[in-house]
Amino acid sequence: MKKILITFMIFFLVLPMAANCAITLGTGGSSTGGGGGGGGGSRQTSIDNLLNVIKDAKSHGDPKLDELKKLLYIEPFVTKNYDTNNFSMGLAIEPDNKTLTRNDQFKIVATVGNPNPIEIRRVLYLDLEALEPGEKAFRKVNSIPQMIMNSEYDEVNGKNLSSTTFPELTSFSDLKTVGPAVLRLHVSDGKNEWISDNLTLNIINRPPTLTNLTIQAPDRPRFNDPITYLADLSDPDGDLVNITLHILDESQKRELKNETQEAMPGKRVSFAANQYGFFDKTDSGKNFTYYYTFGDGIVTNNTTILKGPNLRRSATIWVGTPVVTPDDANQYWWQNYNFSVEMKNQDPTEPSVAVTVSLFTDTPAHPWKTASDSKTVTLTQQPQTVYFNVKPFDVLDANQTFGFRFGYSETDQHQRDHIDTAWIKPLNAKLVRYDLVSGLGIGNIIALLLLALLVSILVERRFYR
Amino acid sequence: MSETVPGLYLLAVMMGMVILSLIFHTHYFVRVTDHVKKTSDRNFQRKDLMAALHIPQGSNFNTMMLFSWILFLVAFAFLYFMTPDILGTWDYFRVPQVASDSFGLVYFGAAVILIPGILVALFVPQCYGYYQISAQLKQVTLLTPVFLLASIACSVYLGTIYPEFNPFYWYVGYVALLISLALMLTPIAKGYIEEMRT
Repeated sequence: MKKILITFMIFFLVLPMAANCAITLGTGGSSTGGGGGGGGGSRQTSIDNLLNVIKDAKSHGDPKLDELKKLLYIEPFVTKNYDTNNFSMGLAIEPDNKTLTRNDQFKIVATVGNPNPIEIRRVLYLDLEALEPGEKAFRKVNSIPQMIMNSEYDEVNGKNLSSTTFPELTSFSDLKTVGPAVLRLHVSDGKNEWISDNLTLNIINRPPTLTNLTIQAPDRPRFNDPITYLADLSDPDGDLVNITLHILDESQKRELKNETQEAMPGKRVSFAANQYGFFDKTDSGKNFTYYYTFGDGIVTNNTTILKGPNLRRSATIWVGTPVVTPDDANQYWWQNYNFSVEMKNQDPTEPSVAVTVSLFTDTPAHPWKTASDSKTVTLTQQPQTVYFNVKPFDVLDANQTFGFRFGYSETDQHQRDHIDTAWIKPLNAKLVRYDLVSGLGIGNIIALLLLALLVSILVERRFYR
Repeated sequence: MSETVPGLYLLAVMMGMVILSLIFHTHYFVRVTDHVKKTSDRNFQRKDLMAALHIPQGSNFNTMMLFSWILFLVAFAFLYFMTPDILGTWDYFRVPQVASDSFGLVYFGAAVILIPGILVALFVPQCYGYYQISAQLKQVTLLTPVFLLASIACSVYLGTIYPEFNPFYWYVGYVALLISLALMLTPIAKGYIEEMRT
C-alpha cells in the first residue's frame, strides 16, 4: 500500500513540477526548450531535485504548496457507495427488567447494524448517554468510546450486527433520587453520527424498615450497666441505611444525645450506651425515652417514641471478704456449702438500700453456674452477713477446685458489682454418696435381686414350660 | 489393666471353665448319639434325640438356675466394669451422672439383666435338661445365689469407696464369683463324667 502511495505521489509530483523545473533549469543553464527554440538534449529531473524544490517552496511559504496538497489528497476510503441511511442501533438491558432498584445489577448491551460491506466499512465509535432522574441533560457515561472495528460484525438474518456492553454502567447505586432514567446510544464513524432510540428505565426505591425496637438491659439498670438499644433493620432494596438513635428526656421534649450508624439491612443494629457514653452518674434515678430516624439516602423515616431505660438510683455499698464453709471437712460434692459475705450501706445520704445479691460457682465442669436464686437484702450502715447455704455441685465437680462469686446490684467500694474468690482445696474425689451398709447401698442390691428374680420367673414361665 | 489385680488372667480362668463345660456338653451329646446309633436299627434326627433325652428338672430348679445365671452376669459386670481399676476401658464411672445417682447401681444392673442377661437365660440353662441331676446336687446349687450376692456386695463396696481401691475385696468378690460359676457348671461336668464311665 505504501509503495502504491509513493508511486502515486511521485507521479503527481512530477507532472506539475515539470514545468516549474523546466523554468528553473532553463534559466540556470542551457536551453531546455522553454524559451523556445530548439535546444539540444534534454535534462533528467531527479527525485532529489524535486524534493529540493518542494522544500524550498515550503520554506518560502509558497501558496502553490496548498494547491499541491489538494492535488495529492486521496480520499481515505471510497465514499461512493457508503450507505449512511440504513444503519440500525439500539440498547437493551440484561436481565430484561426495566423496573430497577438502585442496587440491582444489570448489563447494558448496544447493538449496531452496519449495512456496508467490510471493504468500505468505517470504524464506529459508540458512546452511552444517560439522562438520570432529576437531571436536565444527557451525560456521557463512558469516558472512552467503545469501538467496533470493521471486521467485528456477525451476519444475522442478512444483517451485519455487532454488540458490545458498557461496563461503566452496571447499577444505579449512586443515584440520589429515583424516577425514570433514559439511556441512548451515540454512534459515530468519524464523519457521520447517529443516535439510537431511548431506553427508559424506571428506577424505584423501597424504604427501609426498623422493627423489634428493644432495650437489652438488666431490670432497672444502673447508669453504668450494659444497656443496649437493639433494632432489626431491613431494606428490600439492600441499601446502606443511616440510623440515628435519639435519646430524649422523660417528657420527650428535649433531645439529650444522638448517635448515628451506617448499617446494612438484615442485621441487628445495636447502640451500646456505655460505648457512646449516653448516661453518667447524674442520670441515676431518671427515666428516658428514645426514637430512631433512619433512611437509605432517598427516604428518611422516624419511629415512634419509646420509653426506656429507667435508671435506678446508684448507691455505694461496702463488701467484705467472702467465706465458704462446707458442711463436712471432707468436702464431698453432695454436701451443703455455706457461702457468706459481709455487706453494709456506706452511702450516708441513704439510710437503707435494697440490694439484690446472687451467688455463682465456678468449676471446670460448670463455669460460673448460678448456685442459688438471688436474694434481696436491705443494707443499713451496720454490717450484716449475707449467706447462701446451698448444694452447688454435682458429681462432675468431684476432685475439682472451685471458685465462687457474689454479685450485687449496687457498686461496692471498688466500683465493682461482684467479688470473686477462689477455693484452693479441691472437692473430695468420692463419687458415690452412700456406703454399702446403708439404706441406699442395701436397697440397690435388694432391688437388683428382685429384678433378677422377676425376670427369671417370667423367662421360666414363658420359655421353659 | 490394673497393676494391683491381674484381672485379665483371672478372667481367662473363668472363660476356660465355661469353654471346657461347652466342650463337655458337646462331647456328651456326641457320645450319647453314638450309643443310641449302636443300639438302634433305625435312623433318627438329632432334634428327635434331643427331645427324647430331655428331662424336666422342675420349675423351681429352672427358675433358680435362671436366677443364678442372670445374677452371675450382674456380678461379673459389677466386678469387672464397676471401676476403671480392673480393665481400664469402659466402666460405670464413665457416666458419673448415673454413678452418683441414688439408684445408679440398679440402673447399671438392670441394663446388664435386660440386655445380655435375658439372652443368656434363654439358652444356657436349657443345657441342664439333658442331664440327670440328683436332688442333692440341686440342693447344692441353691448356694449359688449366696456366693453371687457376696460377690456383688464386694463390688458395690469397691464402687462406694471409688476412687480408692481395696484389692482384698476384689479378690473375695472374684473367688465368690468363681465358686458360683463352678456350682452352676457342676451338673454338666458331673453328667459328662458319668457318661464317660459307660
